[in-house]
Order: sequence, then structure tokens, then C-alpha cells
Amino acid sequence: MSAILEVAGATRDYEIRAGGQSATLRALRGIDLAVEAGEVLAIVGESGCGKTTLSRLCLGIEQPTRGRVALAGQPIDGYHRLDRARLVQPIFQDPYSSLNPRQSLGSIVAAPLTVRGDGTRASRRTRAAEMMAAVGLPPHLIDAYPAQVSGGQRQRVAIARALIGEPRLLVCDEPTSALDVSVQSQIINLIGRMRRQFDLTVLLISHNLAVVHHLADRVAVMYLGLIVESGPTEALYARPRHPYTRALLDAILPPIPGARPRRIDIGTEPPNPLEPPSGCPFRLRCPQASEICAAAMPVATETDGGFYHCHHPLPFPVA
Amino acid sequence: MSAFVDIAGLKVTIPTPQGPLTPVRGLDLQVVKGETLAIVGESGCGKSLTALALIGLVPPPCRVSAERLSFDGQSLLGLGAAAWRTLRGPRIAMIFQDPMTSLDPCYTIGSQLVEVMRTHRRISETAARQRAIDLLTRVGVPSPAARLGQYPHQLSGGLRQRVMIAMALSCEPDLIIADEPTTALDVTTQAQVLGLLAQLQDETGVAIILITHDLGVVASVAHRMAVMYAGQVVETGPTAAVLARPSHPYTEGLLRAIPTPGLTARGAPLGTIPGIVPPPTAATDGCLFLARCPYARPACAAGPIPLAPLAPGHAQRCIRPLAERAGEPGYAALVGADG
Repeated sequence: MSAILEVAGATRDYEIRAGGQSATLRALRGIDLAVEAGEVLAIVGESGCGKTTLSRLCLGIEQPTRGRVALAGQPIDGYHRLDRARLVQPIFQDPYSSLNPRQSLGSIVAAPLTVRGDGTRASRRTRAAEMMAAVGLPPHLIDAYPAQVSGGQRQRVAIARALIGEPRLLVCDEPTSALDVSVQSQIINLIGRMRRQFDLTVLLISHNLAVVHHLADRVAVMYLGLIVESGPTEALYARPRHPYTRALLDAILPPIPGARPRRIDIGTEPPNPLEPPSGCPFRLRCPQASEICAAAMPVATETDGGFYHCHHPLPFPVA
Repeated sequence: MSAFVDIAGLKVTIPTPQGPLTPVRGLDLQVVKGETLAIVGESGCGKSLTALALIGLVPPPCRVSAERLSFDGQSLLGLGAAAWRTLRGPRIAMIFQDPMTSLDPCYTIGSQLVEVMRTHRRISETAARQRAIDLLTRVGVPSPAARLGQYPHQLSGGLRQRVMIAMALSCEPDLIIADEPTTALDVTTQAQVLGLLAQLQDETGVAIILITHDLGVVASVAHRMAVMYAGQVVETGPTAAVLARPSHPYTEGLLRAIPTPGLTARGAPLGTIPGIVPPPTAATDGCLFLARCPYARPACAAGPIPLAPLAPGHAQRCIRPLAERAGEPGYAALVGADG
């Protein structure tokens, strides 16, 4: 296997003005990540942990402040944007704002081909029709406008547009969060089917741990701009080692009779990203934190096909 | 116990030049004291309008009508503004989805909490401020005294929702209506806020109507649940009974559509409900779920279908409930469909 996307030591700083003074917000504080061809890698974490910033680096929309991002073996900023778009395509959360309301669905879906000047107008329309059929959109919608279709259908349009140029990597940022339950399951099934049909690699950004469990091969847990634990999905869900991963998993509310909310013992607030704590980023909320956690950032420890950063990992359960 | 909140035949109608829309078309619900009833349904099913009807905030030009709409024995139909003010706040409180838009950005947390208490009660400024600190402590806001001087934008989403809960509790209401109270929050915060609501209910005996689209939230906090579809209740009963043996095909479809670690096979296709929700203009003859139902029969189109009792406290609106359709493939025949 080879990595289609590699992120090494990436940081991303934003200059912001807070209270009349300028300050540096470090949204990413050193990310190492490799996405292997054909896998679905999920990034999970709470709002503000940097997962959307990371997705923007992986799309080449933004450049890291330090470190590097490589796509198919080449630095991502070395590509012409049209060449980059042949390799990686996004799917965003909100299909109401990601589609141009004044374009027909057919021309939205064909846009990647139009931009690069592939084929004729007629051949692009034929390809758009094929792609719309592949994602389960009825043929008569080719001349409809976004306002005339449902939220689920709009997300199908966004998926068709992303796939028409046959990219190798799909970056999906919360692709089902804005959708109703019954529509969410259709889009999850569609992403699963497209992945097999088009031999896709997927970077899935989500806060929904149940959706991630269903779709992802591997999961990386982010906290305050760092990956604190990563591993194969089954192993990570069965045997989390980082207390933050444990808290996220405990917060899943299964729709089964008698399920009670578990006590989530991690305080009420993530720390201010302008003043991150010394040492371990999670120590201010961690029930196990001790002196060493304030003194040093825990190094990566390998486990179960993955790694974690914690001075006081949860015990590895003995079966 | 007699019903504390009693709704029968609730209709919300919106007049339009093309004819009236009825987003809520004949809804029946009861809530008893001290319980949590969850109203579940997808966008546009009428669950939020139902909540607004209960606190008299359905916006014009919508019209509310009902056979019965009562709270603690008092009819809410045709109440004037003055009568609503004695209920809204002191007796019935509301928590909305997005605490950023329901708190006033121009006033401090303290002044907003104090204003609510001083509007409805004879209480001094000092006493109200002290009570505000007590309430913030109770809902788990760290350093509450300092928070009183802060503005909403200085708080995280989870803290803002805790402030909303403190405000809802400030006049010791008998009923809290919470409309998607945790949808805008992070997952860990969601679990904490739901735990808080359950704990406050144990302490005060307040009844809660929880409006949500998330069946996981329902399972974790609701005593009873009502599933809404196209402006009607299609199934209602004790949460455990409905989740264990969903009788209406729509409830069954919703449960099949949710991935659950440990229960659904990873990567296997999830269940789907074909088609889309009928528009609120659709004629009400026959079953409203008919066009999407994998168990439908010609008889389903014949006429309005009543909410039929199934077991004590458990009722549903299908002429072919679970027992009648045993052995049919139903949704199983659709597995793998994503269109």
C-alpha cells in the first residue's frame, strides 16, 4: 500500500485580533497523518479541535504554516489547481450553501469537466446524466435548480460533482450532519457504494462517532490541534487507550431500550486555544492528570495497530 | 394520573394564496407530571409548531385550533396576552436549539437572568442576583459569580445552553419544553446536558417535553415517546416498548436507518425509507405514510386511520401493526438501496 495523502509536522497559525491585541491562534500544532490508497480514514473531535482546518490543508485550499502536505507523492502546493482537482475533491456539510442556486443541477455536476475544458458541451451533459444516475438522481432533474430538490438530493448532486472528474481522494467534511435520519442513511450507503465502485480513498471528518464506526477503516482522534490517538476502527472502539477517546465513545447515545447517558467526567469546557496548556493538551479536563502531564507532552506509544499520546493510558483490557 | 398537558385534535393551519397548508393535522398527546415525553420526527413533521402551540408562540398568519389544548386543567385556546404572561416563564418554560440566538448579545448573563425573575416575581435585585448564582451553580457553570458579568459571546456553546436551562428553571416551572436542546452541541457536552436535565427533573419533578430528531437522545432520557410523521402522531408509548418493538412501519424504518456500534454490521448497507415526506397540502384520506411504506396494501388508502391502542399506553396509526405483518420482507427487501 502507498499513501495517497501524507501530512508531516503540519502546523497552521491564524493571526487574529482579540481584545484590541493581535494574537496567534495555532489551529494545528503538529499533525502527522498518512492516508493509504483505498482506505477510509476518519478524523473525529469536538468543534474547534482543528479538524476542518486539517481538511482544508488536505484539499490544498490552505497551506500549512510549517510542515508539509503531499498528495500522490508530490507537494500539494506544487500542483496547478486543475491538476490538484483531478486528484482530490471535497464534499461539504451543507448542501444548501455548497451549490450555486443559479445553475442547473446538470451544469453543477458537469462543472469540473467544464472548468478543465474536457469534451464538448454535449458529451459533458451525457457524462453528467450518467453520474446523476450513478448517485440515484432521477434523469429529469438535470435541468432543475437546487431550490427545487430536497436536502438529500442536493447532497447527491454534491457527490456527483465531486466524482465526475474521477478523483482518487474524497475529503468529506461532515457529509451527513445537516440531513434527516432516513436521508442520512441513504447518503452513508451511497458513500460506501461509491467508494467501492470508484476505488476511492476517503478522508471523513465527523463528530458523529456512530457514522464513523460504520464507514471508517481507521480513526484519528483530534484534540486542540493534535492527534491524541489513532488506530483501526474496531480496535479503537473496543479498546480506547486515551481518556479523551473514552469520553467521546461514552457520549454515543445508542437508540436501544434502557440505554442511560453515561457520566462524562471531563469538565465543561475545552481550553482556550490562544493559551493552550503546557504538556498534554487534554490535562485540564482529564480525570487522571498528574504533574508529569503538565511537564511534558506525552510521546506516541504504539498499540494495537495504532498509537496514543498519554502518560496515563487506560489499561489494555485482558479478555 | 390525569394528564397535565392534554392535547386532542391539534391543527396548525397556514393560509396561502394556493390554499391552506396544515403542517400539524390532528395531533393527540398527553403528558403527566414529572415525566419526560420525547416528540421525535424529521424536519417538517410539525414537532416544533406543536411546541410553539403549547406556549402560544405560533407566528401569524398560522392558525391554531384543537378539540382540547389544556395545561394543568386550564384551556390554552384563545388565551389573551396577559393570561399567557402568567403562564409563559413561571409555569411553562422553553429551551431552544441555539442558545446564541435565544440569549440577547447586548446584555450580560446576569442581567438576563435577573430580568426574568423580577418580571415574574416580587424579588429584590440583590436576592435575584444571589438566586442567579445559585442556579448557575446548580446547572454546573464554573465560577458562576464571575459569569454574571459576562456576555453570551464570551461563553462556549455548552455553557450558553446551561445558562438557558438556568433561566428556564429560574421561576420553578411545572413544564419545560426543550426544542432540540443539544443538537447544536458537541457530543460530550450533549451527554452532559441531557444528564443535567434528567437530574433536575429528579430534584424538582418538572415535566419535560423534549423535541428531537435523535432516537439515541430519546432512548437515554425519555420515559415516553411520540413519533410524528407529516403532522400526526403515528406511534406513541413507553420509550423502551416502542424502541424494542416498533409497531408503525415509519418507526421501524427510522430505527433501521441508524448506525449503532455493536449492533449494525460495519460497512453493511443501512436501512432506508424510500421516497420523501408528503407536502402539507396532501389530502388526508388514507395513510400519510402509504407512498413510502414497504407493507402497504390497497386498504391503507381507504380512509383516515385512527391511532389504535396496542398495549396499555402504547398506540399506533397503522392498520397492519407489527403482529399483522410478521414474516413479510418489508424493509429487508430494500436493503442495499441508496436511492
